[in-house]
Amino acid sequence: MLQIKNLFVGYGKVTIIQDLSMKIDSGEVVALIGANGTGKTTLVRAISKLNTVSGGTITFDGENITDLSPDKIVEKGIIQVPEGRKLFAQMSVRENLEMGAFTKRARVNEKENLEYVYSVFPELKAMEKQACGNLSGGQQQMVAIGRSIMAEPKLLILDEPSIGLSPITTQHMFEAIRTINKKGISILITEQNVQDVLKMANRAYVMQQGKIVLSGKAQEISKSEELKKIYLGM
Amino acid sequence: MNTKKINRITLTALLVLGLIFPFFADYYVLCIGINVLIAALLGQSWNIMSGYAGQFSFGHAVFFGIGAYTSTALYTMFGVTPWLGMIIGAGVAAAVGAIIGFLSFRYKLRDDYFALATLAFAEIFRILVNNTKSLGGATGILIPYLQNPMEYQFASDKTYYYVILIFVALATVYIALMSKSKLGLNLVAIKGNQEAAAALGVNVLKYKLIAISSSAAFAALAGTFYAQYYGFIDPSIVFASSISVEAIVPCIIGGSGTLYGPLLGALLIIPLQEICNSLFTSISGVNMIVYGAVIVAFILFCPDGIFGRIMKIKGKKGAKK
Repeated sequence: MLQIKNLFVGYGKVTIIQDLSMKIDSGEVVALIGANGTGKTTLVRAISKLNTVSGGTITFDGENITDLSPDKIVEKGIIQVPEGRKLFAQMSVRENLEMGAFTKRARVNEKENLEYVYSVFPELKAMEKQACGNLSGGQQQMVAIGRSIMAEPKLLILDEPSIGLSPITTQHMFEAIRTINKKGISILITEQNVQDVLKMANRAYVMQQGKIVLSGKAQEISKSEELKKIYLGM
Repeated sequence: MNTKKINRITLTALLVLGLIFPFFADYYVLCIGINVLIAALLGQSWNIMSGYAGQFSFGHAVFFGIGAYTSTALYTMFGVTPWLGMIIGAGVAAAVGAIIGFLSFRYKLRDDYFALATLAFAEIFRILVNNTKSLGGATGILIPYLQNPMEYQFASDKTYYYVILIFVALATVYIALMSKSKLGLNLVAIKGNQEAAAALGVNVLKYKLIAISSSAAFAALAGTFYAQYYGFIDPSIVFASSISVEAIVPCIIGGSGTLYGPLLGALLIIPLQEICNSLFTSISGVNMIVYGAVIVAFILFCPDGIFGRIMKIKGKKGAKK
């Protein structure tokens, strides 16, 4: 459903992503892994057009979306949970979730989607009136993911959802992501937590210095010697 | 007491006070009342763009000045009634606001840097008008006083008072409607977290420009009123940074991003200014020291403003439940 061809992305004169191609099929969980500073965030932000693309094409459901603005991308159904959650700290949990339903498409089903979010994260229902700034990291991540579900994604992009979370909370998070995927939402997830994310994903891409250096089935990649080399630099 | 109740009580109190005030005020006090309302209109204007949308302006004088100069120039040069000039001025200010916004946001100016850009634009306009002979240059423009209501000129200060009161009410109604609409939600989202708003499908640039333009239009209304009321404008009055400050201070005192905060702030700060001016006549400068100290005290002890403080206390109680 998402196809990236020969993509170039940079900040100013510095090119970060060089000639990168990848694809995500409908219903898949795709993991994007790689060491710090290899351009994972730059890439996913470019898909949402939060970064400017300097070359190449991105197509979504057969439509070229390379030149669309971020709000149009959201309307197409690509929703991103930005790294570090980025909640509206002053607002309550419920208000934050409601903020997810910005697009016309999502507003129609706002109530059902809210129910769905509460069924995936029952904890949130209990604290829906609390200000988000007072929540723990894990709870905040739940709100951030819940908020993006409110926008009715076809493709959900999660940028390092486990950042700053305890191992147990991370497990819960991954379970929730699996539940969301079962609803038919495709998922692209970037992670540092390589082994856990590879257990969950169908396929994986490994990035190094702005390029895809390894790709394939998640299970195979998790066993490959190549991955160790890339990570340990041997 | 819930937020609605607080809002309703404040609204009733302010409305009653606003309506009956001229009947109890002598000429001097009425003038102060008018100045309160000018500051309140400027404050509400600033509130739209900076309080709600979070785009800090330090140059609201540019819109105020454009409003004043557009209506005045059209009137003195072409005989266009300032009522019409006021609307044209608001339109010009909105357009200039959009241009300033577009230029600034295109280069991703944010926070302090955006505030500095607005300050620079206000200065550019001041210097520009200062050196434009056809606009009176540094000597300014004197508006002939004909006492004709059709020309936005009234015999009684009471009429001026009610005119500006209507504008303040208009701005307040606009903000009330805006804050409940999708536009308001978009602006609050942008203020809360621009990145998140963009990721959720808010067209950040578009809504920022709407915020600046509507804010600019209201500031321009204040500018035209000022020109018609005082009958004289020059660049160092209407494009002065003190005007920009006058737009900000009511919001800081009363609470920016709240509906009635700027009104309350103006109601406190302008009389305070007057009191300082009249109490400390013997030593020059003491009035400004006292005035400044009050603002510093507010920033230290009540950084969310009076209304922001009330909402915060309420919010905390709500969270405990």
